[in-house]
Amino acid sequence: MASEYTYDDEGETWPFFVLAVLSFILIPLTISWGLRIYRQDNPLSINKDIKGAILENETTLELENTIEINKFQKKQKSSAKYFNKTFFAIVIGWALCLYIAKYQTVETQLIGAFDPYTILDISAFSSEKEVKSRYRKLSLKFHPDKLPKDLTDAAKEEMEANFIQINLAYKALTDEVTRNNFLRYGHPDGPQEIKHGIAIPKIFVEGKYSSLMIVVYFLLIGGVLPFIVGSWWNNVKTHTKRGLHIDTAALFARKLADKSPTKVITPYELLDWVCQSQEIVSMTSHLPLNPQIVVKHLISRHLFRDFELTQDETKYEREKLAIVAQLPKLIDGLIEIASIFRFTDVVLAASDLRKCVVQGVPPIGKYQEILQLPYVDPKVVSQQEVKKLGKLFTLNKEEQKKALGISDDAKLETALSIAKSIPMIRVLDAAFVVPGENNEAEGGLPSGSVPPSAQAHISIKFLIKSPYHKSCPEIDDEDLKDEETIEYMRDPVTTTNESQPLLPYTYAPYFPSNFRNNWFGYLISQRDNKLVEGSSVATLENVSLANLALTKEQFIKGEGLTISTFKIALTTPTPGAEGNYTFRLVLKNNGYFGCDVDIPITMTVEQPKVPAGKILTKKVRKIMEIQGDADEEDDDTDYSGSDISDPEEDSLAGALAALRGGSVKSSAKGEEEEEEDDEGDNESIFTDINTDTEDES
Amino acid sequence: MNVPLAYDAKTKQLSLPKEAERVVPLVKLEVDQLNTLVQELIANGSDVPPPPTPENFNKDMSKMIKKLYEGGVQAFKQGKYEESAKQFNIGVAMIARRTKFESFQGTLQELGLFLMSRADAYLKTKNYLGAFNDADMLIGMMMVTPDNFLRRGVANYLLGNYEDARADYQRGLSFDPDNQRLTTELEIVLDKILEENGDYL
Repeated sequence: MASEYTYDDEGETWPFFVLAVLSFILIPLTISWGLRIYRQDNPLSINKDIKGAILENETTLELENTIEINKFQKKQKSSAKYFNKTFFAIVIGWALCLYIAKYQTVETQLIGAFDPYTILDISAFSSEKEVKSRYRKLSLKFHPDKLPKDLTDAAKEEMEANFIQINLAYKALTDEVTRNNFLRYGHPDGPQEIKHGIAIPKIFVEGKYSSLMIVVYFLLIGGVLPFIVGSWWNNVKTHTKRGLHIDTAALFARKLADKSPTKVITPYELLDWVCQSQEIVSMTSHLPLNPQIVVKHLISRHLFRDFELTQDETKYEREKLAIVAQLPKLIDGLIEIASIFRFTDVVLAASDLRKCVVQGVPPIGKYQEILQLPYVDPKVVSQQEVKKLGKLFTLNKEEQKKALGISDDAKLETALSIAKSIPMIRVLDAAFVVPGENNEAEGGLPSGSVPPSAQAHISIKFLIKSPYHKSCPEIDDEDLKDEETIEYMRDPVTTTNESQPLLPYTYAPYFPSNFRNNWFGYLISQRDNKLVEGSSVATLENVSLANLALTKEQFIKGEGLTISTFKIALTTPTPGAEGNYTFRLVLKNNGYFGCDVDIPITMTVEQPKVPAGKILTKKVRKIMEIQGDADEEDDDTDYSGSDISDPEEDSLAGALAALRGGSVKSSAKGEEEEEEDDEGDNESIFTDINTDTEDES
Repeated sequence: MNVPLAYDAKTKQLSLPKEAERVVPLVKLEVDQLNTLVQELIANGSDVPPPPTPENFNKDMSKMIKKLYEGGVQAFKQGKYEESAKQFNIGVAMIARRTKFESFQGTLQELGLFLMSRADAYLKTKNYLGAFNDADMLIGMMMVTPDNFLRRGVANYLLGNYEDARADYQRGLSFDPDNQRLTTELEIVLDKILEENGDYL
């Protein structure tokens, strides 16, 4: 059978083909492997470079669980870190690459590549004159007649070939026809012959191995490809973008949809939900009896730092750590889903539960702040009065020992030094800001006010302080203003947030894996106590902890004090109508107790006093009038409908008189709000109008 | 877990085995709710219950409830807080016995009134958890008046949940920024929080 194709029997091209395919696989694999090593690096050594970080972990503290945690981490790390399957695949792959590149590639002559400028060794921008003079010089050197006589034949031939090339190159740059050929076909001789080839030796296609090749192809297309695509798709289908199992996400969504608004959500209830998740269930299906009960027992042992083991429980110690390591991820998933439902109570309770899991502290009682310290005796702690770290530092040494239940001096010192390094936040100022609008001197709005329908953000100015620091230094108002540079005006949020160093790894000796400390910011509408849409994404990751190193006196005097700023971008524009809108801003730390922030914050929407805004103002006024009228009418009708008489009593009446009017009013309001819920409550005036007109008809 | 449900054709009621009631309280609740609805549907007489309007709201019951309420207020006025709480308790139970097909608007109003008064009585009788539950229920029912936040805040304060109390007062103030009572209570709790932290301004 005559073939139309040329085969690669000399091995000219197939090594390149194989190299290309190999590098396609190897390079991403190597990068991901390298990144994993880089990321899993020892958090303590990273923390050392961060000012104010806590440099303790279970090993340095010599806690009861050290051995188990180290075992767990070793299993996670050494096997999965350096010498895993990926590592061997990478080594073999690169060795293969080297071998092929070194021994199997035949140097091919790139006849097709013809560049007259390289051949003549001149710049591509040379004039014709330069080309000519260069050509003359070279042709003198390589002309067959001018060659020295003592050259070997081979050298002579090479020189002659060179001479031909030089001639061609010269022609390509000067002669009209050759030049055209070069421009159109890339070669001065006109179109080159195009060859079709197959990058494998002939025997594989037409020889006795052809059947083998078919089998290989069949396996590749019929087996490997569907398997890879299938498993990828399966993963996409069974896991959400955040790595939560789809059944778990559905479970959380169902639980939240079924949530009774009159029921108080407790961390224990949320823990129940999390334990029912697919991740935990599939991890623990091998446990005896009722796995759910065993799981809860193990988690509770973790939360109460219970290390007195019975024979049976030792067996499950590793399982306990594996389960506990999973919990924060699941809780984060729950928080994310709950913030779509905008349930404030669930989000806040889940944040607390997350901290409990991380620190190994029970979610009940009021002593978490003290219990998160190492060496403390829970029984002693819960019997005394001190609940906060701040209070602890007002006591003398003996009282501290008594409060914590620590008798050893060195241990007390360690516990206190950790307590000292837990970063607390003292908010100096928090306001809604629209960059460039709050310049009162130039006719702008007073600080704290925003124009309607503008892109605003929340700016929080705060001090990082240790619980050891008391009171608050005097801060000049000027220090709380942002410098409005061009970058700031363009993107105030990222510019400000990323200007500070990254927070260190969280001190969490009872928790088996490592993660960075941060605060999550939630903005809650006071009107309906729901999360404002899009506010859950705010994460405070970059803060300087330099203030923690200050002494008490330095802190109060404000010497060397760092004022930090955190900005939260709002996804929706400010409301169109003027007025006050009240919110509650909560910052929840992901690892420590006692450093959360919960402050009320008011958005004052005001029209700037510039002529351009006048038309809009009128419109807004009109809308507000319609709104106002409708509200009044509502109240009247409901009022007359109630048939319960006024109470005459004094002490109760203060409350009751108000509650009568109030209850009538609010029940009407309640209805309105329920209707609006779906549309988001960022006070779009248009939804208000719609509901009102419906009421009137 | 599988739980056998029994159906009695005569009384048209569902029932759970005794031991299951303890294990799955949520199922028990649902079964009870279903039973109540069925019972009232049968007692109603017609195929479809009448649409809930203010006109067919049970006025006799309203009168009794009103009497209970007045009795409770009277007792409160005389300083008999235990007695007053008891009266309100009976009232709440009576409201709960209203047929489920009645206008819920009216029921909610009555209930709100009772819960507010009962929360006050509970605060006086030092049943802070009860007061918290009532106030929380009121806020959960979207009766977001400053007074209800004051009630829940005070209950939280007395239960020692100072941070929660502060959040309650602050939310109350967002509805009525000039509320004198809330402002004073807020200052008290802020001082208390500072004291608990061993901090000062």
